[in-house]
Amino acid sequence: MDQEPQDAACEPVPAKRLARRRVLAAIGAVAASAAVPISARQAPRRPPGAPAGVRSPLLRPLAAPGAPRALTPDQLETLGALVDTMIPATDTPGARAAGVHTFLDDVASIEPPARAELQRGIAAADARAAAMHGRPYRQLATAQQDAVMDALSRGTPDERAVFASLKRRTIDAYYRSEIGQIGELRWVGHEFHSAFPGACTHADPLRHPRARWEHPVSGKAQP
Amino acid sequence: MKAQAYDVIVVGSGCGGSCSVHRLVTSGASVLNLEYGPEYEEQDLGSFEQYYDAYARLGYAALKRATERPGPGSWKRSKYFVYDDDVPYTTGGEGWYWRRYRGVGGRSMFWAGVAPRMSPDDFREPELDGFGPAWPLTYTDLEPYYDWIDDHLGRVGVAEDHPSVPAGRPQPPQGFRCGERIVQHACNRLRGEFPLLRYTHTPKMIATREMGPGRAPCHYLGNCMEGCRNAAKFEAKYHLYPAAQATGRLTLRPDAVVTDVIMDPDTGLAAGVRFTDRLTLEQHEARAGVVVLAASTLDTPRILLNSTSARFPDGVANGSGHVGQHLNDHVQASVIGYLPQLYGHRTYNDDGYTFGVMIPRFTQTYQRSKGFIRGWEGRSGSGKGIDRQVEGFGSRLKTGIRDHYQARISLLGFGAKLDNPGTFVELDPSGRRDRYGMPIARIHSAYHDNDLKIFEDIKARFTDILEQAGAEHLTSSAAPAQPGTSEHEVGTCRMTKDPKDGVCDGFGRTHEVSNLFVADGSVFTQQTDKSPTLTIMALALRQADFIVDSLKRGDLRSA
Repeated sequence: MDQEPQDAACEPVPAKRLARRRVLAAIGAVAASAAVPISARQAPRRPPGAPAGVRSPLLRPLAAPGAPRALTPDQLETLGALVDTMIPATDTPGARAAGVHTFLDDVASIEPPARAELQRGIAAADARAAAMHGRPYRQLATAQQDAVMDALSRGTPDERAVFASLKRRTIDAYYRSEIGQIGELRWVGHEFHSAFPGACTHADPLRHPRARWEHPVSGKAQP
Repeated sequence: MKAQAYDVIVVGSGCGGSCSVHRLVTSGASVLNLEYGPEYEEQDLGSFEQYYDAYARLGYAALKRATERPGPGSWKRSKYFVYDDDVPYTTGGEGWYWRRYRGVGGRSMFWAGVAPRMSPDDFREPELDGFGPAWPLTYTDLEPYYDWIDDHLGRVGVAEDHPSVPAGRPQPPQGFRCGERIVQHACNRLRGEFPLLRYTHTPKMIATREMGPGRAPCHYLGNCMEGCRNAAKFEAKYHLYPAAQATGRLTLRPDAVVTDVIMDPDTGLAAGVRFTDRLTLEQHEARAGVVVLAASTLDTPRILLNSTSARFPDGVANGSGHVGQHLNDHVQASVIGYLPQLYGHRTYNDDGYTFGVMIPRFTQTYQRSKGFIRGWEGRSGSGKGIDRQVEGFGSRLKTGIRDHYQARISLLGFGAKLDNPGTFVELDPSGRRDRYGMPIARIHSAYHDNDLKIFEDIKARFTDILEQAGAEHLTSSAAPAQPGTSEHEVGTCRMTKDPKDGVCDGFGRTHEVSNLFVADGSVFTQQTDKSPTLTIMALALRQADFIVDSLKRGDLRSA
């Protein structure tokens, strides 16, 4: 079985550094073949000058704002507020900015059961909002919306089902959006590497240090 | 025998068909190769289009059709997928998820490349446990062909043999990811209880070394299942067809849906095949001295059963009644968890080199005491997980999901299903035909008790491993995946020593028709815990050598 090198922490090794290391290792040899063997047809495009792992900051919403397709304008507005309570803006945009509600409206226009489920959820949230604060969900302050969402998450079985369904649909859509996948999670699966990215070189992974890193968008240390 | 247009017709161009074609034409035979689907277009392979781009391009309805069952599960592959509403089939029992990708190169374009050799014991096992017929060949018969694949097509893996997985001649594998390394340590700590337990590198048909023009070593770029434009992973279109076509002896005919084998009523030999053009629906005939069927485990029996005549009223090569019987795939179970050691870890590229870890079968020592025979093999990979068990909502939920994204670890087990009378394919009794004139298939499936015991064992052992690794938020399969999901179906024209027990001999030659061969997963005598692809390829190469020798000797005669 492979050896465990006594090396630094688990960090991805940039393609450039590895290629260089390999070239240095092949002293005297025609080392070009050890460097990155790229054939033009397989390299994904990256904007010129953009470093690996950093994409254009212009991340698009999943579905652009537009006229509602399946829901009423008020329902769509409420859904936007609900998904944003579920996944709010932090150091990256939240679910509303990611177009999750307009995407779900599109889903509802094609799948009648989804439409019914979303409408039930919107109605349940509005009913709770009215009972707790006397106004529809979309008109509440953020803290009040949080309180209503919290109440739904521990409410009647029907309310808990509404909460679970909203959560599932919001997660599904948000992390499939460019904002969620690239901006929030920093997915880099489309990058080209000359050596295995993410190969673990840590001495004792069972006592793996909780690697701290700066989020490229916020600059804040995570978590 | 009168002069033929071709020495051999090969039906299908997947892992079996492509190996057959390559070996036949490079050995001097002239071949007509008929493929159901079109040529794969290069831009469709290894697509990096993400969901948001696909949604913008296709809209939700088209995306839903491509990503939800009974679709292919990925819009990237959907162009080559045969949908049930397009070419229907019916099912009985537990149902069947028939994943049909059609194109030159077959399913070799969309696979993970997992390619363990079958072990000497895998070939002997029926004799050891007394279940089902024996394989009519041994590991030694196949070893030179396994070696040829390692040397000429490239395969990575560990250099040491495992009792269940011969190493062969692999190229060096890639390193483990952090999560995989953590679970490897956990497995090492469980060795007292399970001496054969290894969490090790998967034998994958991927090259990590330079393999010559047209191919690049693995660049870890994208999920293997979506196709590999680097041609680092074995894909028949890039690995075998260029050399085969360069001989000038190959006539490749895409969009040709073979419907039946033409039999010579005087000699009882195969004379050729009939096929329908997929695009124009025109019917054609082609003739050759030898016919090789490599149309897939579910379509090869369909072609044989549809080839009826006075001499073969129940279908060609079906005098024993075994054509279409003994269908088996893998019973699948998974356990997924999240490793707290990695919470907050930064994101790295974990899309490439899919299924880099294998857990070879390690249950031999206790399987009987557990009340089942045969066994299972596991795969594992880490990273890229949306943890739906993060509680609550709001920034707590969002931060939790980001924190856990790299901490996901998945274990997926494939168990050998045992032959049972409820699992087979036949022509649908309604007599309905598809648009190409073929009677539609009816696929029956049922579980053997042994399958369900294996399913439970996979889940229990994987849970042991992940608990040992300290993982949390574990989820596991509630029930075995629907039959067909593994895409490892085999056995419908099984090879047997005794012609009464099966359809083919040890060379994949049908017992009844001496110039009719089968070169796909249909010929497997029994299912094993291994992914069948590598063995399908090795069997096809060995058969092609046999055909070439027989053609030279001129001794392909009716049985």
